[in-house]
Amino acid sequence: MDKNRIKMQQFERQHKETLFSKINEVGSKQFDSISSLTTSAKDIGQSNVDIPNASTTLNNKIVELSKEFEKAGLSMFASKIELYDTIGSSFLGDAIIHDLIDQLAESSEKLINYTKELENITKIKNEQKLALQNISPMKKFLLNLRALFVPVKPVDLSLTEEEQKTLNTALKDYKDIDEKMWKYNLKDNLVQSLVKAIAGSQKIGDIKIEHNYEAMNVPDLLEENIIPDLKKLKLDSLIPQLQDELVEEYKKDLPDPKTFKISQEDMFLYIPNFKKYEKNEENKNEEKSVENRRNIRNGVTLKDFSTIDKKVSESSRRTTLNTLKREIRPIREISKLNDRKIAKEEEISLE
Amino acid sequence: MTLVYENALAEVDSILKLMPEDLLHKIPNSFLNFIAQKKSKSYIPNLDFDLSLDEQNLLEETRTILSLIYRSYLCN
Repeated sequence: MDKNRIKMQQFERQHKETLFSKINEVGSKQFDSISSLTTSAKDIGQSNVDIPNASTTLNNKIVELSKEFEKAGLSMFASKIELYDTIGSSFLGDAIIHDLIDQLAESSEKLINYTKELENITKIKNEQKLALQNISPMKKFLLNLRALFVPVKPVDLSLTEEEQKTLNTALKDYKDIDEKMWKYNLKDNLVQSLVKAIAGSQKIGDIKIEHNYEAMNVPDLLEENIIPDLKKLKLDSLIPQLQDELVEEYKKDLPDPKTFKISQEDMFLYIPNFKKYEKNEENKNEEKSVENRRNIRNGVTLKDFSTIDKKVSESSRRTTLNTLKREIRPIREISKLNDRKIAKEEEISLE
Repeated sequence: MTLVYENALAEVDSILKLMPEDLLHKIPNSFLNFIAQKKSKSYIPNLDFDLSLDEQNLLEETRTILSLIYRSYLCN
């Protein structure tokens, strides 16, 4: 089996193991707390208590999406990084997983919020119960006597409408996120994940980095890491939307033109410029057909050298250069200059 | 120098002869002389004039030397 294929499978296996074991860890904690929450909620009379486990949803969603990648001949967990001839994680896969994990984290916060509301209301109900139980025997006797003459409504310890609403709203917030995760699909949600992964900000210590990727590097990032996979997934229709949304994201951080005006030439430093690849796309088909008609009967051009160069690895170049260096010696070249013979020592260098 | 490199230089030499003058002038004479001296005198490159350069059945070493020439002398 191909060495790269083996490395890819190893990397994929490791990445999957780490990811799913973390999800399972969160999942089992959530399962315990959901179990006790369901019991508590039913005890105080909340209706329609059906609490899904968001970690299970996440797990199943990732499995489902990974199958879509596999059908397209890709892995959601690993990819070959051509430039460095190594195996790394898949950019698309990582963007999706991080987005879903963020949603899981949000769902956990909502669940905590629901737990607090439930605890508050349970506390109130328990206090009411306790208050009833702590009436002195004399007072109890007098109340019972009064009840003979004045009808008294039984004390209702069930949830009020407002309390039901509070609990239902808090639970719905959690369930909404769970449903959002379940409905995640590549066609409708991949662009949002990619925009987040590329243009999202991060904080390292006290330093806030506005965007994960500099605007000027984004076109190349798309061209090398994202567009090829989108084409394999038959999602190239998403490319214009992705480009537009990225441009809008980066535009948000443009300085106020009143304080600092950016020249057109420098704009690519602030907003990704995808036009250079659009132009190349138009010419590519033209160039391809011209290339196909080319043969060396017409001579050899710079383009021919460039085509060869693209396919030669850095390691081959290094090896050959070292071999040639051993052979290259300074050569005396006698050149005529103004009718005088001048001995000129010229060192050949391929660097 | 190993035989394979001598053969590769022979291939490179025959390819350089197909270059236009303006490109060839970018390669120093000293390097051209080096190729002329070190190339194999017995190896006859087999170029197919109906194919493009990339489609030619060249030695890997030839392609690498062409890449080095391109990067060192030809591209801006």
